[in-house]
Amino acid sequence: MKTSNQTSNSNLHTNFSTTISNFITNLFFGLIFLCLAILTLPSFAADKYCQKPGPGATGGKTYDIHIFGNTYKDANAKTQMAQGLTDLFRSLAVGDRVKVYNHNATGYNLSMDQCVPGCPEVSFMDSMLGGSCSTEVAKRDRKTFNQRFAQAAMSDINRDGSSYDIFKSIQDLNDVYKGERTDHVVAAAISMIPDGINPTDPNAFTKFYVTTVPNLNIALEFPPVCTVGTSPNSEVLKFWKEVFALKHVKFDFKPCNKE
Amino acid sequence: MKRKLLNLLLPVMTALINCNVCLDSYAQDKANTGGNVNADTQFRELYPKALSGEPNAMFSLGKIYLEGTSSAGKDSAKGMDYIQRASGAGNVAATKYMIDAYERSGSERALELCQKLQRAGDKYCDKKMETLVERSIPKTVSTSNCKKLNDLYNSGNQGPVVKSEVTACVLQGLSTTIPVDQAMSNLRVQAADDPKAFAKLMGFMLKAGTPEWDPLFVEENLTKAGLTFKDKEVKELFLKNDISFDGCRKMDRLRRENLRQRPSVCRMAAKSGDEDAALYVGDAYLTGKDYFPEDAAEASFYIKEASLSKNPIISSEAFVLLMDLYKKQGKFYEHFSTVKHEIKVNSLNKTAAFASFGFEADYLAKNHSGMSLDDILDLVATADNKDIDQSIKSRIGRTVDEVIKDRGRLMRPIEKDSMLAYKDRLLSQKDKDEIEAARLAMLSQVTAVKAETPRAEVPRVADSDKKPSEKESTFFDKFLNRSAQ
Repeated sequence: MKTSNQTSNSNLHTNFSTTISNFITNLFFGLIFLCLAILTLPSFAADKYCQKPGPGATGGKTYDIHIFGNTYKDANAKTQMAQGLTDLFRSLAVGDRVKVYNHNATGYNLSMDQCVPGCPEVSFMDSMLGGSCSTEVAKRDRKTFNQRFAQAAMSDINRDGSSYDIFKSIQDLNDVYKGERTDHVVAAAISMIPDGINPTDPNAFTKFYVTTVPNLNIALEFPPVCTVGTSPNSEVLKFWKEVFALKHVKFDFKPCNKE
Repeated sequence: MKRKLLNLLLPVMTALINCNVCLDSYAQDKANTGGNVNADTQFRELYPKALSGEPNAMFSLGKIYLEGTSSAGKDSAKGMDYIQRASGAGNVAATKYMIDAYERSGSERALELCQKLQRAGDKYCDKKMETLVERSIPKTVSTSNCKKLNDLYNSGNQGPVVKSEVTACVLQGLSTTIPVDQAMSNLRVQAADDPKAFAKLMGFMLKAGTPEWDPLFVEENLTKAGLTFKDKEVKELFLKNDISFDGCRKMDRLRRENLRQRPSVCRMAAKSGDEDAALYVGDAYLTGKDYFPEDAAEASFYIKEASLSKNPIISSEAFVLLMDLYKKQGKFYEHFSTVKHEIKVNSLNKTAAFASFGFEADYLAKNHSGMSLDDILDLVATADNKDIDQSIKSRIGRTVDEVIKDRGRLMRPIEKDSMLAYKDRLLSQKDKDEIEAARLAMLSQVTAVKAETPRAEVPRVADSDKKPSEKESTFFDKFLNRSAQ
């Protein structure tokens, strides 16, 4: 027969066990939540700066930046590319979404998808009501964003002089959209210089035209594209205008930083 | 010292590095400008225009591809495709280019394009049309081909070739573009110097039972038109129209309309190689039968044809005829050499040759004074053959004395001896007895006459009037006789 002490001890023991059990269960779910929170932290960080596009708003645009790093062999071309990307980068506004696509010989990958960090300008009343954006945190995030952008932009640049097919690169850009319309700003960092061609030699371009264009089999349907770091040489522009005219492609070589 | 050396080497190395850079640049330039720069520039200008369907650009680009002058290289298929498209789009230069190309390759498309140009009033093809028509005209006469020819004829292409083909169509009843009489007349005109036309004409003129039937015309004009009786085409036509010995034999020789045509059919059969016909015609000419005039020369031609036959019956019959022919013509040497040949080769005609040797015997008897002694000796020696009839041998043997008497001392003693030896072999004992009897009879007759007649004084005659045997022999005669002996 059980005594009252035994009974109370028993109850105590049962309560203790339940408490421990609850604690462990809570700890388990808490840890899962923490893990999920850690895992989803960047997207939280990305999303928290995103702004919806609206009239008069400075941010809120989405930039699709396609980097064809392997088409930049020449040092001058690389400089042009860096300059162009810097200009583009400067034009980004807080809250703009930036998607960086890296293209190479085997295809492409989305190496960055993030909104430009920064606190939006708010009224005094809004700040009094307790705005959620911390300027310090935003500054820190912007620094990280800058680093990531630079890393994504320059990661696939042609360092070993490997060959490339300029037409394939153009076709790859086309294949990202496959003829679909988009309201994104599409920027392409591509040299547009055919591999092995001196962009200042008109005869070289003519020969390249004669040997490749009649056998060229590409189907292109782009959204409006602006260019970054594209060779400004007249021969290059002439060549591509002729090719795109033949293929009935609208591609006007408008530089992204000259809107 | 080291510094001095470095000072010397540095500029050299710098120069070498620079030179290497120069060479790289040169190599790249060369690679870039390989091929014809002008052609490449033209290509680049023309290509978009050609793609947009501009005829001139398509033509020029096509030529660049065909000639292979640009960096795109030579691509005949693409080149012809562009030129064809340019022609299709109305570029006359492209059409002319294609006409020339098709003409070189012998394609019928050249004619089609020329007709197209002609319809447009272009005179580019005027000179070559005849050749193109000739090339593209099908060799067989059919309804569809005749229709094509009628179109050509009616569109103004009335040159000899088209005319000839349209004529053939009309004569075969496949066209009414021109009247039949005119077609026949056209064909006769063309046939005068065109073997093909003549062959066509023959098809009509050898067809028995038609108004055009005229084998004699064919015979008289076939060689003039440049054909021969032994041409394959001619022989085929002859076979088709029964121009053979059989055809000749079957024709009624007494029918009035056949009097001239039948010999012609027989002659053509013989000339085309029908040996039976040759034998028949030779015989007919030799004897002047079946409305063939007696003509030894004609007979000789056909008999010789027949004698070449591989059929022994025909060739032996022809040989007999040939021997008769020589005899008739008095052709001793041809006859004699033929006989000798047959004996030498021991042919089947040898017996006939021996049988005809009487001609040689008669000829010797009549003409020995005009023959050379060698020929006479050859004949006498040939006669010394066991297969020759004795009567012939006797005739020859009896002539030997006359020959010796005629030639006298012109014959060398060895020749005389040889002749006498042959005479002895040729004459039979009976002949010899007859000759001896005749000689004795003659002698006795002479003796009797001498006895009856008083001996008269022999008149003195000048030495020059004396017969050679009566002359006194001079030193010169003695010398000659000695040397002859």
